[in-house]
Amino acid sequence: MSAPKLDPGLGLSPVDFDEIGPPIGQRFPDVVLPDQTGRAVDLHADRAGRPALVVVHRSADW
Amino acid sequence: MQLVELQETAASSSDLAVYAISYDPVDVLADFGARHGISYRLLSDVGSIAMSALGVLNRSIAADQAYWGWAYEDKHHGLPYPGSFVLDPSGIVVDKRFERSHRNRRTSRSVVEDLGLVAAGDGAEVSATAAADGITAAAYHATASVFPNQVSTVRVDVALDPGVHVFVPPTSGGYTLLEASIEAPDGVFWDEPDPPSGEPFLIDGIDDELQVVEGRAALEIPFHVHEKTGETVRFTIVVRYQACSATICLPPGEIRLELSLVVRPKM
Repeated sequence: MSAPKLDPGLGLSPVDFDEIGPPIGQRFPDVVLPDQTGRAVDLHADRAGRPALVVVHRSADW
Repeated sequence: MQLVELQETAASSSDLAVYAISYDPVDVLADFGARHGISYRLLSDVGSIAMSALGVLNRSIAADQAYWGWAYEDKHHGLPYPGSFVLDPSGIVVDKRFERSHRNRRTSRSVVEDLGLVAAGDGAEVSATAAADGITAAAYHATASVFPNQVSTVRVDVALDPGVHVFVPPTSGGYTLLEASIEAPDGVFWDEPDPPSGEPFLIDGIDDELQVVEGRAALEIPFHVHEKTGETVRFTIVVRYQACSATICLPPGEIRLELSLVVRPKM
């Protein structure tokens, strides 16, 4: 089976994605940032005991 | 864009808190949120200070851009690797997924499916099913459309009749192993799915190492579509296998499943 690869991996510096961000099994660090209304959001307080999906992404503007 | 699709996911599960962190100032996020009806938290990390502290910045993005043949611009400074963290109710990181390029991002639906917050297949908008040799194979995609360059997943469920098994790695001896692949036009990129895990299967007098699956198996094929905005892309999912019972093995077979997905406009 030959598959065109999502990421050919040739010529790119290797990245160990396990090393990106806080590791699995650790508490996610405290983050306090303003949201789209300008209100400061303390992520852990705001999620109020719910599980969370935290996405990091490029600009919403482009 | 992932942030718009994320709204659909956030709206589908009130038991899940959703946050998206970017380096945009508040006014940009306010404008974007208003235009797209975003109700979850868009967090403004001007200067990428929090993302730097989290250790998610792509510090080799200039070289990556050059590799892909794309220009490096000021806006690329302070970009994270695109990805996501899943936190349990106590705030522990229980999963994280990152992609090499900000052009390739997983759908939040697939992340939430992996979490079990939404049952895989529930409400899938596109699916196909076919059967042969005591095997029923179903392929589905959660949504009827995809965004260009967004990594998504076709799921293939294989259900075996009672008494039927198929082979999975590391089976030796020339048996055809269960696998799923995509036949699609140029511009569709996919990776081989991880094989399902099996159980040892012993036959008196045969030394081959056999690992088999009975009952059910699932394969997930990650894919993305490059630059086919507005087009309908037709996929053929090909499931290959060799079906056996305790006493007889059929010749290798395949089941072909057709799916069509619309590639949404870039946003």
